Amino acid sequence: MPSNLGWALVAAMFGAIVGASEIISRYRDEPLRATVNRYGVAYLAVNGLVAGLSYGLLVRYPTQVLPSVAGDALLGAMAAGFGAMVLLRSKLFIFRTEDGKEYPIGPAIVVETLLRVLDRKIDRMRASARQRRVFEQMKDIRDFDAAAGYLEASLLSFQNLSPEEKREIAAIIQEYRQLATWPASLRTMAVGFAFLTIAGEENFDQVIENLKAYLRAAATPVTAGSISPPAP
Amino acid sequence: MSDIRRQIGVDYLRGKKTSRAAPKPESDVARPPLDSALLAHGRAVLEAIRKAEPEPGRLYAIVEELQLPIDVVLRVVDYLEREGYVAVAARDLKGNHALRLTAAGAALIR
Repeated sequence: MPSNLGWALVAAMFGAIVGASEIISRYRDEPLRATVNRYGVAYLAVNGLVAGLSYGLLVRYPTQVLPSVAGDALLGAMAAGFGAMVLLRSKLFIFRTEDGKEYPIGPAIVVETLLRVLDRKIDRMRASARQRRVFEQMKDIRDFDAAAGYLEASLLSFQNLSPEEKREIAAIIQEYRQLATWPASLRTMAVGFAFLTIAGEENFDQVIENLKAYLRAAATPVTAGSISPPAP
Repeated sequence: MSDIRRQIGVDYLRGKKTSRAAPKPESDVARPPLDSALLAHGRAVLEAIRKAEPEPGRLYAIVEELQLPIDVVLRVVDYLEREGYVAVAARDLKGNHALRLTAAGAALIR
């Protein structure tokens, strides 16, 4: 059986998984890119460390913090890993003011602040990458109707979208069509961002390249000489 | 409101639930796409203003440099001013405003 240190590492692993799931749920367009970078890894490390320390608290204060898991190392590791922040928010210390008010004081506020800073760093990094990507790829596309139609058709071909989601996407793109007071290039780029959020970067790059080729082909006048006869 | 509608919809423009006065989205992915489009253009505009420093950036010069339609740049500058990324040093009747970066604007493109 693992020692206390071993169980603390198990708790840390669970904590890191919780951290990863938080990042993945917030950055749906590219969850792996949001996780595997220096800030993402630091976020996982802080979560893991906090979970390991929470396990230490459970071992040190078996009857005060969470009596129901006292004596069960696996359950303690799971509670510390998946509920580290809850444990840290428990009233370990109470500060009483002169007027009788009570303020729970614990490490949670420090950890939450640290995690918020790291999350903001991830967000800025992702925001900058998304904005540069969409701007560079779409700044010259001014034909909103053609672009929206093409992106809508591309989105609706996704197999992992439910029929309700597809209907909703079509309805939303229709609403963008009706925002006539907005310049076409801003609406086109907005649909591009929506596409990127749903489809991810690789799909976005591929589909936008195809869209540009489609727009070029649509702009080329068809003449008799430009059509090759079919091979015999 | 469904998840997809909240992520990519335009309801916030009509004052439904997530109005412009609502708190900032939890992440860039949750930012309304039209705001993202404004900000994506905004970065290019901010960089053009920075290039012109120490002189203020002129809106017509930015239009020329970025080769963007003027209606787009005017709307982007309105957005940047509202969000506190640029300050209009001198407002021009025909739209050729003199623009300066604010500290927030400089931080955004750092």
